[in-house]
Amino acid sequence: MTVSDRMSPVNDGELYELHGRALVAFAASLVGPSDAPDVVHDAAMALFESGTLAEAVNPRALMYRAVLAKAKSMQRSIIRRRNRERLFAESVVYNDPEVLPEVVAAVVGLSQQQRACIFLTYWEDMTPAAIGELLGIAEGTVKHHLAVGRDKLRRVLE
Amino acid sequence: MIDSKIDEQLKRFSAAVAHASSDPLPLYGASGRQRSKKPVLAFASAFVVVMITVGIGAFAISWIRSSDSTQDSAASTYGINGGIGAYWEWLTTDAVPLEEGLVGVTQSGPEPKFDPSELGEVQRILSHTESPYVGEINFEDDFPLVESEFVPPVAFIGTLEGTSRQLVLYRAVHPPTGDLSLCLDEQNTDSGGISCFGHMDLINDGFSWGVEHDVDPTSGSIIRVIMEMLPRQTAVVVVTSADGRAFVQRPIGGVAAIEFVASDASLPISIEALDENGDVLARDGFYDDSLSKGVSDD
Repeated sequence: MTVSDRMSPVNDGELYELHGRALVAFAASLVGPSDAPDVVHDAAMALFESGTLAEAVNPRALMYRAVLAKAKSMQRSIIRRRNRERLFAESVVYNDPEVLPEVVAAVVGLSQQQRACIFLTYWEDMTPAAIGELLGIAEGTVKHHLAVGRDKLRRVLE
Repeated sequence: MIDSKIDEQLKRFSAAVAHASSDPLPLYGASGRQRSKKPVLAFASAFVVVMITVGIGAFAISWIRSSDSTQDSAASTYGINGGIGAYWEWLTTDAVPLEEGLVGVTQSGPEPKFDPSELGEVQRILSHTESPYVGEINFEDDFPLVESEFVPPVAFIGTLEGTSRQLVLYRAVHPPTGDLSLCLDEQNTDSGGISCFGHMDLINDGFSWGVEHDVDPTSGSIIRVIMEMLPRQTAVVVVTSADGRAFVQRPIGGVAAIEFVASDASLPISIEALDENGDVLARDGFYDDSLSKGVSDD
């Protein structure tokens, strides 16, 4: 048995423990910090119950995609989304007052997939290719999402 | 200069989000299932079982089923099995291609032989010939169906009169079972906002519907009632609130969307689909105590 074999998680609980914190941060970029733990928990439980993780080549990518899918399903209610966006913006400004409110509003107003690409780029330092692989979308799509987000901020900041 | 400012702000935003997030919740009921040691190629297909949204449940609103439901014969509805397919076939009959992947719906029920305004306040849906589709169909951003597969085309139902909100309906297929579901989107052409009202599964041999309570500081407390798969013979739908107000609409493509300013006594509501003579084809209703008090579900 190699070191990497011993270190790699072998069951669902260990996968959750290994990736849970990063997934919550990722989910926070999609739905805001208050709903993020629930999104991750529910997505993880759905995955675990389906048994798909046990056979997955890349369980980390599967978990990220599940979180993104769960976040999108939550977006389907206007009232929830508006309240969530308001709380989301407040939490960001609270944690870093130097983030301009108009920037927060602009980024929170992006689609979740656009925001996912921004978060993974600027927090996880991932390349567009790596993000594309993680989320199951084309590298060009990631670049497009980043460009849209940056263009929106450019209009806000100019 | 501006690019570095953008990068700096996005880094700060992302870091603030990450720092604001908390630890994961304890994992209840984890299976402890052992992972396979062998790579498995069926990765993509395995993912789709993650989560299929159920329609009405997405609204987090409780139901009551009308005890005197008067569902019409199968001729007017679409049936429980394969209902969405039959409904879609009817919906898109004579539909007009508007742009790639988008068709304008022309189907509507019979003209009422009575004055709908006698039943309540009339709210119109303007068809694509009266108010053209002005949005942009962007399949990747607007219809991001990670857990299911979008089935083109998108059907443009119409524009809610006096608003910038347009209704589109589309189908999704869930690969594990091949089941179809419907999703009704309301696209706000002013704000660019899009609200999927959920994949509304066929709940009975009648129509699907949902209610949303929208609390907005600028517009007040709004109740929205949306309906789809209304019986083909539906001439008008009538939504009646508990405080005695009634709202009437002629559906397009079996779809209706009514909204009104909520009061403390707006709920429960009833929904009736009437034929051209004013006879009830289908009836339903709901009650949710938290909404009647103006409390959001969030």
